[in-house]
Amino acid sequence: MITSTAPAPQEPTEQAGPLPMPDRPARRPWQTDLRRLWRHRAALVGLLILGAITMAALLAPYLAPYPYDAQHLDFIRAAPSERFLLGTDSLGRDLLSRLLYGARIALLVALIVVVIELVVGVPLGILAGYFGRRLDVAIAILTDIVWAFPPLVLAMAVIATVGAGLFQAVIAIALVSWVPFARVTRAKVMSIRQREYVLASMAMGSSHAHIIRHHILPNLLPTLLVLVTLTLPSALLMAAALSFLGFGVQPPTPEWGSMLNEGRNYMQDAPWISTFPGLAILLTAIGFNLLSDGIRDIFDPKQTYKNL
Amino acid sequence: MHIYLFQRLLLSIPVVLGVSLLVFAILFLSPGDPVRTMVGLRASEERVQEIRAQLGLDRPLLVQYGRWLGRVVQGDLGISIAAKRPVIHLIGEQIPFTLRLTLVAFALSTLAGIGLGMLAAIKQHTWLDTLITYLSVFWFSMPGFWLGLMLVLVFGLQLRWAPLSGYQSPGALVLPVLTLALPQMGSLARLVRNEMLEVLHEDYIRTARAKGQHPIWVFLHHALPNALIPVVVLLTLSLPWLLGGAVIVETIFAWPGVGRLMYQALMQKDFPVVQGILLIIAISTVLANLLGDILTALLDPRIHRA
Repeated sequence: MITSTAPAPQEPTEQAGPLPMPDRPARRPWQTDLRRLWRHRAALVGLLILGAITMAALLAPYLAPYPYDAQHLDFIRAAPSERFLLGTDSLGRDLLSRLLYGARIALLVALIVVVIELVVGVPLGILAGYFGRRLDVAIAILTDIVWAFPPLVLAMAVIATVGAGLFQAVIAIALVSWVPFARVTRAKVMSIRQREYVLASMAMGSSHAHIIRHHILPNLLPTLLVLVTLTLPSALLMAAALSFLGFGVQPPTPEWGSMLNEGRNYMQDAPWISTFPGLAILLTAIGFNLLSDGIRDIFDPKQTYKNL
Repeated sequence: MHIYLFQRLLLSIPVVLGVSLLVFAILFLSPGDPVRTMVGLRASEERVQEIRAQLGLDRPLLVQYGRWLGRVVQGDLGISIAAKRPVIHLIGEQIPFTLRLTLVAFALSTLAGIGLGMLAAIKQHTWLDTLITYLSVFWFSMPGFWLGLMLVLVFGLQLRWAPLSGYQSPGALVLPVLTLALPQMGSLARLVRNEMLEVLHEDYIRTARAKGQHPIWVFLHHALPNALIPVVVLLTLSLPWLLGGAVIVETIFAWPGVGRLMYQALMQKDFPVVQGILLIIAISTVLANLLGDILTALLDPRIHRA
């Protein structure tokens, strides 16, 4: 069954279709995976975009020409100029500075959301897939219930009950979108559980905890990596959408979605206020999606999770 | 297969019950007092108590849930706090507008998505494939709310090609439909491309080609039907999701649909309306899921699940 022998020839990795391989992708050392990622053109572009945005977020205090909350009252809604490269908003704050600080919030929110989804979804998926039977049915019902609502709408409803804010938005998004983690983990665990080495370990009398820790989890890691990169862009977009609708991060925090919303009333006279934050969201989402395409091509060439 | 479908049907009963429980719970997790919101701050405490008793809000939770469920089953979703009218009427009035928007968007994104995805798969490893692949990443990375604003900016404010809001003229449909359809088109095109490529590498396609069948026949007769099975399922699932996207689009374009009703209800904490809309969307999703499973079972004779 285990097919890791000779290093596979370097296929053109752009190709998403199934490669002429046995049942499942041959396992390769991490180094090879990294090299393949490096050669994946789309993933490389995504990495570069995300690298630039991460740098912007980390170095915001040094790169920003002004503090993000400094008001320049003589320059309210000033067009992009040499002094304010991307213009100012309706309170006379420098847009570029706010965008740079906004990158911190965008990346952080997406990361935290995905970590919570992981913490909620993966254990449920393991329980359902490993123990099966009634537990599986119960967890299937739970995931079906949560997934019956459009995530954005459910998150809005949750926030309407608990109040708006950064923390509430993060929790709400995670609570409504852990389902793919549970479902994919379950399916993967079910297939790992059938492999000979797991059956052998069971026959030798290993405990469930031992099997899960030493056989299931390590084999789950590539799957989880793919899922994490797949869910990062949707978490980012949902957080921005919530803030845009006034349900997420509240002004004056420099969050891209809420900045965009502040500019809505000035589309005619000062379109830059809404244009640049939207571009920032789009660019970050493209970066995440390109990277996740690459990671998926490498770790999941059979595209098992395409329907998410 | 019948057993499988029966099990699926059976499983959807606790799901629907759970959905209703969750929707009901939203009202009770909410801070603030809906009755207080309803009567205003100046009303006396006695008046508040009176109305609360009138609405049955002073009874135990489980009793309230039972009563609420009983009414919901009869199509009574309660009275809107803001509009002081039955929720079911409010929703009923708005649904045609949302359906007009989402169905047109759905048709457009489906046609364009499947077409582009097929084209990319047939022309794999050409510039056309690369272009379509990057374009679909571009579109499904697009924040819908920003796309809507940018379309308004360019085609409404600058070029004055399309009306900015309103819903009377057919032209008013163009920008909201594009806002809904383009991101959906992107993810669909990618899915279709990947499915198509996978099918084109199957043994039965090679066999059909080896038999000397015409490539177009192989494509239309052997590849397309198999590639479209997961696509059909995704489509049945995406209709309720489009309703979710309608919240953003309808808010931006002042479109009088269920999405905007939902947004306003959430802003005003008009929870009966929120509950009603959530319930209707969730139950239609459960039905769509069921339909998707039935369709898969019917379309794909290879299915051996459950």
